[in-house]
Amino acid sequence: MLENLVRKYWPILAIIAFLAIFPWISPETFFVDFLLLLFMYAIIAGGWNIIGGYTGYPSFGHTAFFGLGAYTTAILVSRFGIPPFITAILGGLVAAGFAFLIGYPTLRLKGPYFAIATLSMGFVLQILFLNLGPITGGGEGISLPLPPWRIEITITIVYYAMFITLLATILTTYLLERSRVGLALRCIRDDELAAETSGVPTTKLKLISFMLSAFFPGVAGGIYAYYSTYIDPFTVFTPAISMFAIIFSMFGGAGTVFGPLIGSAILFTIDEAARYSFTVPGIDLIVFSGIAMAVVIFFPEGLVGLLRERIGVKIP
Amino acid sequence: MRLLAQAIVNGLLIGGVYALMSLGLSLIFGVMNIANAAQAAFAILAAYITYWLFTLYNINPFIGMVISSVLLFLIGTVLYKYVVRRVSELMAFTLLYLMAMFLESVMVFVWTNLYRGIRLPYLSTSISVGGVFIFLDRLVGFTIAITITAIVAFMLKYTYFGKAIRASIQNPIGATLMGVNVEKIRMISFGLGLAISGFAGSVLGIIYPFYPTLAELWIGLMFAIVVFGGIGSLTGTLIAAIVLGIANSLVGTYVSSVWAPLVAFVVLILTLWLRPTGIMGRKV
Amino acid sequence: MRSAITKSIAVVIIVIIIAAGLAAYYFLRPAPGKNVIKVGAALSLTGEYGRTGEWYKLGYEYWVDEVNKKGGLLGKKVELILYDDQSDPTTAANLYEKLITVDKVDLLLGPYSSAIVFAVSSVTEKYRMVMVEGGGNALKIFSRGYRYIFLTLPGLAENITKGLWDWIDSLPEDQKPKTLAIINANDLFPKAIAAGAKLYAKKRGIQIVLHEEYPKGTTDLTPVLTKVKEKNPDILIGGTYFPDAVLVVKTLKQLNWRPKIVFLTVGPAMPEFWETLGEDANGIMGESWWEPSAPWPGVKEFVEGFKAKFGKEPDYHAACAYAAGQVLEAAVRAVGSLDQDKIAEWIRTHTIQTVVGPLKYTEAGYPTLGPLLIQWQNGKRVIIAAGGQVVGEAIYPLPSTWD
Repeated sequence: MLENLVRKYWPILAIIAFLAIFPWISPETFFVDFLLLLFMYAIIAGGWNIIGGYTGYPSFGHTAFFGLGAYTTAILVSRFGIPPFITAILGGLVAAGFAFLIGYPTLRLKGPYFAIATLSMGFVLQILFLNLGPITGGGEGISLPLPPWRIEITITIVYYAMFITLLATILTTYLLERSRVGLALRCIRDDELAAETSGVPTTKLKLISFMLSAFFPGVAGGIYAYYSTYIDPFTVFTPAISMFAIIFSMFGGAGTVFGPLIGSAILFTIDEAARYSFTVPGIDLIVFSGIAMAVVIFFPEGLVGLLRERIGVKIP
Repeated sequence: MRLLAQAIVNGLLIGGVYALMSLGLSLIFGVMNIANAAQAAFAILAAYITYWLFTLYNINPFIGMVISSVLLFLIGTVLYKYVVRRVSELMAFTLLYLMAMFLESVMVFVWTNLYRGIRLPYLSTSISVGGVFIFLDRLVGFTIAITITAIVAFMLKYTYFGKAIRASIQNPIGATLMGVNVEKIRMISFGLGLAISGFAGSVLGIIYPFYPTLAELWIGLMFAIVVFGGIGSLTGTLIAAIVLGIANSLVGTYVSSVWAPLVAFVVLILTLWLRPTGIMGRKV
Repeated sequence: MRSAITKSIAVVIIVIIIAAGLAAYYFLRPAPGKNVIKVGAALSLTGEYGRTGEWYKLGYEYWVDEVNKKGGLLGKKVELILYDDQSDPTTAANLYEKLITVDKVDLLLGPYSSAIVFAVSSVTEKYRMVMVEGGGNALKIFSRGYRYIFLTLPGLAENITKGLWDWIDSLPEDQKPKTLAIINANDLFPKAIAAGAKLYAKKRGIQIVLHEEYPKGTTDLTPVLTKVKEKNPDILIGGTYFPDAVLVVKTLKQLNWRPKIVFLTVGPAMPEFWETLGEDANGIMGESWWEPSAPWPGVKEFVEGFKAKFGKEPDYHAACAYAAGQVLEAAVRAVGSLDQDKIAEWIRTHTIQTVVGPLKYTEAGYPTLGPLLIQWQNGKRVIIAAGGQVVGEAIYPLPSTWD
């Protein structure tokens, strides 16, 4: 039985194994650092994918969930001394809770209105966190205590945290896709009215989807706060994170299991390379939005879709 | 009492300029049901064009703003015909938001994020009316905004194009049956929408310092105004803009400036939640 | 069978892409220079702090030049690697991480503005690299127990208004101002200024009639200043950077009102302040951490050399930047190596002569000299108070209207 599983899934298992031992074989800590950030973006994109790709409700404010996770960790670790990785999970729950609250009024809206509403969500949180100084540290941000280990060890630990979260995200997406819930979500995406009349409990399912899509970025945010030791509303509630989630997911293939990861892998790598080769920051955003526009216009199915349909390669 | 009057006057004047900016958005939204997320970015582009015409070639900004608006009109029509039209309505928002990012980052790259301002020293004074100060630059901005709005309103009501546009808003199918080339009207409306916002952008460039990422702040305000006022109703947009301008000013004065940016978003969210058609809009 | 092959092709593609990416890094990375000492920094060359950041760049460049003229450090040429952080703390933090791990610089100089220094210092402290900076002096930066960060601004942001208070204390009783309004942006440095100013005012029994914050990056100060005008205070203190300092003056003019004293920060110390505002800047007071007429050794040569190279006199930002270089230079020469721990220890235990004065560090890494009080008078920055003494004649009170 195990042999069959391994035979069927060996390519993926090989990659997972490789990534699992990577920190020990990497020539430079820098590469581990790079991968950890790549995982983080893949998690956020993967989360977005659930509500945007599978359910057809593109959220334009996903940074809100990331930021909530980050602040949960920051406040709990720096003020109450709670162990960081537990706070990350709590961060995910807080984000999911927020999704539940916001989901009720916003998931009723169609098309561009949902987009506008979620867009506002990011900005509103940024302003709130900026102004509620006594709770959130306001514009000065929150400084977390430095981890007690050497920097190389810290990076390795955070790497595994992100890696595990990413595996969880992908696994959840995979299981979701195969389940009845996933099927229902795709029905909602393709034709909500038909889904409703067929008896699909759209409101409940949309809400669950939204909450799931918020949970993982929240956890990622929580881990990030500990890793970076300093967060403020400008860093964690920035529209750029929302944009990257959408772009990476769509480029790779929204509505597919590996799409967000592939999109993140390619685009984030290009971003880092570009940022470090040209000493002028800002080119990365030009390149990305350009690529993203091309994707939306010419191949909205994303890279995975492209590979599937036109070239015949099967990737989940 | 004087403080209240000052706050209201400030809000009213700037509200006029917001109205002009949102008018363009409302037009596009009304005619083709596309939420143009790039509206603010293009408005800033117009501000830059006017700025460079003034700084490099000494062209009077009031002439410059006409030039930049015409340019924006052309860009708009081309953009619609070759880019926007190719995607579905739903994707259009995404596409335009990406375009906004693209435009902003190109502007940052080319012109940097340094604050710019179209400085006209003769406008930096104010007139005092009963102890309330009316800033000259805002008054001029307000006047231009109202004038252009009036021109647009006139055009919509009395010219063929105007009527065709209104017909397309109210009933695209009916309009087509009546012989209106709806596609062409859409193209013109998109260009016109950008041009109008372009005017507003240039005006704002005279009043405030600007930089590319300012667009991100404005777009929220613009959507709030359009949604609150009601999609497709230009009168609604006007009223909403002035109300929001005054509200912003009052919150800034009586509460704190740091809470003022939230006003627009709160209005937006409340409107979407409780009355998505806005004050005067048609059904969403 | 077919699906297994296509799947593996897909997987191989992914692996190749990732490997290629990593390989690209490995080869794009500059090789550690053998005969060069690399000094790295990121500065706000564009964005909100761009105008001020530019002065730091000149200061750093001038220092590198001077050091190389003397034969370099430890017998090697010094090379400056400078990036633009676009006035954004996250970008800056990333750039410093890159400087340390990819460019593998030997020494670090700091960025500009307290918020950016705060963010960046987390990175440099984690990597245990010394960073000498003249750009961020909010107390919070130095309250985390960090051991690797040192300031060359002669004092903290909380004390930035000290010169003003020294001068006010010297006024005859019946002329002293009684009420104060404070406005500031809602981020680190301006908040620190406000906190400090409030303490000074309270000690002197001056009534604070208004303390108002505004959003960072705002381009409209009308509501805030309308409120201030309504309260009609004697003093207005603005915790500002350059763009909002200019905005304050412009808006006051539009409101056709001035309090008796207008004190702003950062902006008034820069020549661009008068260049942008002209006559409107007359009478505006500000802080300066250094002026070209400062009495320290080496200042004259610095001012003249700087002017010869760049065509203009340095302001305090450039001077603090240069001083940061001087501190690093002194430490490296004394210690004889690039060992960061030894350098940190040395800086902490010695008084270092720089163009901004003799810098002696507290445990936390900042000096405790004070700021100067300056005022713009007819196109010149006049020093009104220095080192606790009044040394100049101030225009006081300012006319209450602009006509």
